[in-house]
Amino acid sequence: MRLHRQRGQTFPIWAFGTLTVLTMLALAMSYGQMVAWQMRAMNAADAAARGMLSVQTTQWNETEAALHAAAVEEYRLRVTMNDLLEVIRGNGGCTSSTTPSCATLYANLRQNYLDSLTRYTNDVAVLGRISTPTFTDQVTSIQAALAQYQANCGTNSGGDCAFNYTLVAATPRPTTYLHDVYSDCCNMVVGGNTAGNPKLDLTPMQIEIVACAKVTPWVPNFWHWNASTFNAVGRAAATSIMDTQEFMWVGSLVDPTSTSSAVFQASEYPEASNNATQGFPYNDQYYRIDYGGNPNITYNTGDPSTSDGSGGFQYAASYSGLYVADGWWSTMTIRPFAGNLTAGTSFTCK
Amino acid sequence: MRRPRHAVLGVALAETAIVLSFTLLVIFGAMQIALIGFYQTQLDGSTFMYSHSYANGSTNNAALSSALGPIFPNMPALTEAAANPLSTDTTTMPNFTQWGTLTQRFGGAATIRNQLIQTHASMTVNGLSVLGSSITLSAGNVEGAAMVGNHDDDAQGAGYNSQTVYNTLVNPLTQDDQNVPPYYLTFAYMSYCTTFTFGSSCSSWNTGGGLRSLGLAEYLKDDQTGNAGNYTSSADGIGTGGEFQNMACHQRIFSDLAAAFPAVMPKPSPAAGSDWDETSGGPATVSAFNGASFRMVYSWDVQGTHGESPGNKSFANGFPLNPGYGCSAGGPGA
Repeated sequence: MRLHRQRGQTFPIWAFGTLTVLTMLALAMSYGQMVAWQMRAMNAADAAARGMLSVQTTQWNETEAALHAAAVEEYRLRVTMNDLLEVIRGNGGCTSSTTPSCATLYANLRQNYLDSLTRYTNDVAVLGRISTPTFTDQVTSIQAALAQYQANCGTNSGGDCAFNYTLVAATPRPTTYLHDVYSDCCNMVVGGNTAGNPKLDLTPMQIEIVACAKVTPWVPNFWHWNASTFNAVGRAAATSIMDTQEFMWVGSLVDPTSTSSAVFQASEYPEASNNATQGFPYNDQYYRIDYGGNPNITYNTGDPSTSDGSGGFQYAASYSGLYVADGWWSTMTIRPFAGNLTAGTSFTCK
Repeated sequence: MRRPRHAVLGVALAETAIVLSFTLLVIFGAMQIALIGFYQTQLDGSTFMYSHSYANGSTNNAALSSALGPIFPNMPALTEAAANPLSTDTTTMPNFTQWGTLTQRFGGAATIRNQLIQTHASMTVNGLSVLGSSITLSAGNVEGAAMVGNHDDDAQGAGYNSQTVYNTLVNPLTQDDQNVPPYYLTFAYMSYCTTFTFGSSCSSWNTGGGLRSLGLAEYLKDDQTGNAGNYTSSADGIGTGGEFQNMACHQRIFSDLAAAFPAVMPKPSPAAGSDWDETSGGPATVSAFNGASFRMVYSWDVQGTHGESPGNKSFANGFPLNPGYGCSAGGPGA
C-alpha cells in the first residue's frame, strides 16, 4: 500500500459525524426557537391584554375619584347650608350679642357656600364627561388603543414589534358570579354571594388578545430538511377587577403622605373667613364641618364582622362624619375564553 | 532517505485511532450537548407554561400536564407550590393599626396580592458517555396569581404582611367581595337641631343614634328597594336617565337656593313655614328660589341612624335615602 492512499481514512467519519451533529443541533435549535417564540408570544399577548383593558378600569377609577371629590363637596355644601339656616334663625351658638355676630358669620358662610357650589358645579361637569362612555365605546377605544400599541411597537408605549395583535373577544364577565352592592341610610352590603345585575356599561369586561408572528426558522434549509415558517401564537385574556376595596371615615384616617400626619379630610370652619375656629365649642352642634371625628376618640363605631353573611356593614355612628366605601380598579389575567380560533380568520399573523 | 517499507506499516492505524478517538469524542460530545439543550429547553418551557397557566386559573394538574405533554414530550411530572406574596409597603397606605379594633373601625382595605406560584422540575439524563455518566437538569418558574389579601375590607383586622393574611388569601373572582361592579357609597351624618325655634337657641340637638343621614347624590350601587340605585339606569352620565343625573339635579337645586342667601342676611319671620323652613312644615316649592326649597333638600335624607339586624333580608334596604326628590320631570332639579 502506498503511503498517500492512507490519507483521508477518517474523512467519512468526520463527514457523517459532523452531519449528524449539525442535524441534531438544527433540530434542538429549532425546537428551542419554537419554545422561545411561544413564550415570547404569550408574554406579548399578556401585556397587551392587561394594558388594553385599562381603558375600562381607568375610566372607572376616574369616575371613583370624581365621585369622591363631588361627595366631599356636597357634604360640605349641606353642612354649610345647615349652618346658614341656623345663623339666620339665631341658632347654633350665635346670638345678637355674640362676637362675631350672626351677620358676620352669615357673610362668611355665604361666601363659602358660593365657593363650594362653584367647585361642586365643576365636579359634576367633570363627572359628566368621564362617565358617558358605554361598553361599546370602551371596546372601540380598546381597538383604537391596540392599533396605537401596534404602531408604537418598540417604544415605551408600544408592544413587541414581532407580533400582530388582534382583539378576538370583548365580553362582559359572566354575571352568574358577579356580586352586588347596595345600602340604605346606615347599612351596606357588598358581595357575599349576592347576585349583581348591573347594566352592560357597568359590568366588568373580559377581553382576549392574540399575538401572532410568522417566524422563519433559524435553520430554514439543511440538507434534505426544509423547515417551513411557523406561527408563534400567544393567547391571553384579562378581566377588570377591583384591585383595592376600602372604606373609611375620611376625617379620621391619617394620610400617610402627609408630613404633618394630617387626616385625609380635616375639620373645617366655614363660619370663618380664614377657616379657623371662632371660639364656639368644639362640637358638632355648632358650625364645624366634621368629616369623621377625632381618630383618638372612638366616636364612630362599626363592626365589619357584623353582617348578614353578605359582607354587610352597619354603623351606629355617634357623631357627624363622612364615610365612604369604594374601590379602585385594575386588571388581572384569566384563562383564555374565546374557544377555538383559526389563524387568518380569527386573527392575523405578522 | 527512504525508510524501509516495513517501518511505516501500522503508522496510519495509530494515527487513525488517535484521530478517530478525538473525532468521536467531539461528535458524541456535541450530540450530547445538543441533547442536554433539548431537555433543558423542555424543562424551561414546561415550567413557564405550567406556572403561567396555573396562575391564570388552570389549576387542574392532570389537565395541565396532559395539555403540555405533546409540546414537551420528555417533561417530568410538574407540581406547583404557592408562596407568600411579596410584602406590601405599608408606609404608602393608611396603617392598618388606625382601623381600630374590630368593633371600633375607622376604615379598612382589602387589596389584591400576587401569590407566588412556583413550578419546579428536574430530570436526570443518563448514558452521557462523554460528559459523564449522568447529568441532572432543573428549571423553575414563578408567576403571580391574583389573590385578595385582608379580604372583606380587612374584616380580620390583620396586618398586611402577616402570616394570618397570607394564610387566608381568597380568589377575587369566586370567593370575595371584590367580584362586584364598580361602586361608591357614603354614609354622611350631620348633627341637626330638631327642636329649633326661630330666634332662639336650639334646645335639642340630634346626635348619637339620631344623626341625620344625608342623601348625597354621589353613589354608584344597586338598590333593592327605593329609587336610589343606579346600576340599571337607562343612560350614562349626568343627563336625563343617566346614573349620575341626581348630581346634576342637586347642583341645580343648590344653585337655585343660592338665591335664599343674599348678601345681607335675611330676616325671615320667626314663625315656622317661612321660605327658610326646611321641615315638613315649610313650603315644598318656593317661586323665589326657582321652585326649589329647603324642605326639598332635607327630604333627601333619613332622620336618625338605623341599625338593622344582620341576617334580616331587609338589611341595608329598610331605610332608603331619597336623593331623587325634586329631580323628576317638572321638578326644579330636572
